[in-house]
Amino acid sequence: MRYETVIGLEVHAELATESKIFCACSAHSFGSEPNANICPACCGMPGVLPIMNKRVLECGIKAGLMCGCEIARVTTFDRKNYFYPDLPSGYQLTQWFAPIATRGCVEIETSSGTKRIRIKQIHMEEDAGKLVHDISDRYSYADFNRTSVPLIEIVSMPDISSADEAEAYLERLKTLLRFARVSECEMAHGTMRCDVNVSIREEGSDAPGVRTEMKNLNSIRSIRRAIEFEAARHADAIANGTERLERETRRWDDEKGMSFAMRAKETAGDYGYFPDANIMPITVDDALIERLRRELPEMPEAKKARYMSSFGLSEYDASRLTESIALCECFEKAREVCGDAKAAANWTISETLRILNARKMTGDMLKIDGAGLGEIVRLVEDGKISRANGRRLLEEMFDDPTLSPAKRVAEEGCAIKADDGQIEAAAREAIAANRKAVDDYLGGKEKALMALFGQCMKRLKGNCDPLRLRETLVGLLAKGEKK
Amino acid sequence: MRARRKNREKSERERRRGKRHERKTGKADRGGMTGETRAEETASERRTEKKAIVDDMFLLRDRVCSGGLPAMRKYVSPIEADVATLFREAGYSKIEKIGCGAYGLDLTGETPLDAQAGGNADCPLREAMKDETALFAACLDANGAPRRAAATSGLVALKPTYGAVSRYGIYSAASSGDVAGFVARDAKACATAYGIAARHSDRDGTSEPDEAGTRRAKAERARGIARVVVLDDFLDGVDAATRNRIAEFEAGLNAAGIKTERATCRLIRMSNIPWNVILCAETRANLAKIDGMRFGECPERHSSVDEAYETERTNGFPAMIKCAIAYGAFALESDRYAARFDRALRLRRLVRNEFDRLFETFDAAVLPACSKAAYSESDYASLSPFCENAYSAPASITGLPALVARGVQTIGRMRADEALLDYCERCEAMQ
Repeated sequence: MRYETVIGLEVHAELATESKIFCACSAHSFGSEPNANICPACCGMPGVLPIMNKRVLECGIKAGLMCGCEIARVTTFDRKNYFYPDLPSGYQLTQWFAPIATRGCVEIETSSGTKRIRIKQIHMEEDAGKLVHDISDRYSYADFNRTSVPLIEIVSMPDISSADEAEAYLERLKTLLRFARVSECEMAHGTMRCDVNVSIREEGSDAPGVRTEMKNLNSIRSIRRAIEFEAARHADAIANGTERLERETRRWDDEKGMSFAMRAKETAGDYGYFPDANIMPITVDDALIERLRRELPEMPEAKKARYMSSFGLSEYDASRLTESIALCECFEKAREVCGDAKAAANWTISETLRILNARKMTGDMLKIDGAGLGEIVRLVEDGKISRANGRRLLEEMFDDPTLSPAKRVAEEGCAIKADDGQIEAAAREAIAANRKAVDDYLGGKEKALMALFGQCMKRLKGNCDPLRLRETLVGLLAKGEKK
Repeated sequence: MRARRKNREKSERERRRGKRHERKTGKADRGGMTGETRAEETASERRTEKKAIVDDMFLLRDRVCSGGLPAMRKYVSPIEADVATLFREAGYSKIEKIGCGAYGLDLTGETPLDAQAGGNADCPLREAMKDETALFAACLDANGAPRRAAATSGLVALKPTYGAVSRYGIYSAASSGDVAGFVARDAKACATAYGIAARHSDRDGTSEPDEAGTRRAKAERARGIARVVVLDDFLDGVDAATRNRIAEFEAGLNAAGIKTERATCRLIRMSNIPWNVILCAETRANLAKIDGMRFGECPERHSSVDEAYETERTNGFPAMIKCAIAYGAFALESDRYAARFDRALRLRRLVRNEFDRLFETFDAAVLPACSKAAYSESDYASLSPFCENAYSAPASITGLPALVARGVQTIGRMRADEALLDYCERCEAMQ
């Protein structure tokens, strides 16, 4: 018998807001000391009341618009009651009865073409704290930095049927949310987590299978492995009767590559949902939706097509640039300033991404001014500074985004000053002093030219146009300068 | 001599501070207080240090605030209630605390028995107010306890419109009905308390913006209370003394030129049924976080965390609160949500609609505040606050303002708080 896998994903994305959802504490606690960003409100102390962060609402609406959802005109918050030490108020404020966005859809590319994954709803909610168990054998510690950090939960319909599709769906969501600046969606930093619901059924059947859920998976690799393992376990259980499938919540152990039963699946009744009276129903008017719609950026596909048609970029370059909205903005500004789309794209992709990778940063964390990059590209392309100096200036711009490249070049005096005569003199000296390198070059070793090139640069203190120097060296060697 | 001069100087400083506050906030005329009454009060301020009272549901910074729960008897609050802050800013530099009963939900808090009616004279609120320096007290009105206390103690109580006074810094019981109420010797003092505390607060999302609130309050005050309906069906089941009170009150209103009519309204009469569902469910959720493990009352001996929680929760909550928690949990179970909590919310809307219908014809509705003119010792054992709240629930469930004077309760339109206080002064005058 052949089975098909039915997968539904619940994706939690931490919203890119400065403060928490219901208080003024900083929402950025990655790398902070435990309990550094807390107040009586997010610690659930008696007497404090939640005050809704307006930016969270805007992010929720933007996420809904990016996923083609209907936006609720009145949205409310509800209490999800459960007892756990990482939840100081004894209930989580979430949206059960009237979520901010419903009935959307996301398109993904699969091996058999484009597929639509329906979105059931997007709702806003607060995150819980974190328990730390490995400090002591006797105690567990609670870190409330993450408590009340704003999240959206994107609940898909069970339209996903393989690990590949799940990956494509997650990548697509990441791109959409990053483009709208709704979330950084950085799984490694915990700003995106995923609950995976898996069941299997006979191919072609509509009857639902027994669904199991695996919570808080935080890498695409884990999600893929968890789906593949769980689908295989279900198939084995049904085909061979190896175990009885239960509707339950399971824990995924990435090291062992297996899932383990945690508890029976909770139902809405277990949580005693009811409307929260401390937050008034929020009315969303057309004007707000329209304003936020106008603020949305051009969609990644449209941008990619425009880069290829208007700027003549290759598909590869256009794809790399449209991985992140920050990269796009940097490139577009750089192109405006230097007037050369290809050069701006090369510098953005090769140099900027190289530095980001070296600093373990993502494209969305890019803070440098695209105009500054454009200035560097123009200086290099015009032969006013060397490429090496351009790279160094770009590195410096990562540390100081306000840095003006032209001003720094003037201050440092690193502009290329050597004229053709000086370059030729330096080349002649280098050739005369490095007989072996000359012989090697003339004997066919192209790399030997770099030794001569380096010697010249040393003599000119890097103050020359590298292309001009190379041409001069090659010309002199061709004329038999060694003699 | 020197001490007297020092006191005089201190009073003068406080008076100036009060004036500055007035200029800054422009709030002198709120709560029915005229410039003349302010001047009279200022004269008395010079004589004594001004003092306000709050019940134990209000949190005061660095003070033990238990909310009447044994589980919280060691809890020292890091925050201060907005109401207390406003009292201090208005020159009430000394804030005293009185008990609040079981989480403010019981029959009359700790402010019960009218000595004159043969009850126990041990009424902390009354006793506190015998001291002339304390004009008023702020008490959480979640289940009508301050109104019943006022009705049985000969005091005046105002349950303001929901959203008129900030709830920040008050233990939450039933979040959708909790209001900081005021109890005072007379309407003027009650108006003073309301005038100070009725402010928008950025720390309470349900607090009405000042501009909108003031506009509505002014309109209601201008309209005044000229026509009143006595809700007849609330007189079934009350004692003879209460019935007499209502009759006398009605006659007094007529004598003062206020027209009265009688009507019945079963839906309003039954409003404590949905209110008890909402009250218990919300209280249950609000109390979930209250455990001595976090707030100081951890049992000394325990062999496991489970045992510690069990001991602490068994000892930490009064029986009535445990009952509310159990019923709240029951009402929210999935198979009962639609039949109980959801239906209670729909009934809340219907009760409010019924009031709106009444207020098309009348300016206010009169009904008893409780079933008895005074509670006896045995009533405290036999009367359940979940039945006795039949008289307080109409205002609690709808968020409408309610005023208790001369032992009788009057419910007004949204934001008619000041109109009710003016009317209360007229009621006092007709005495």
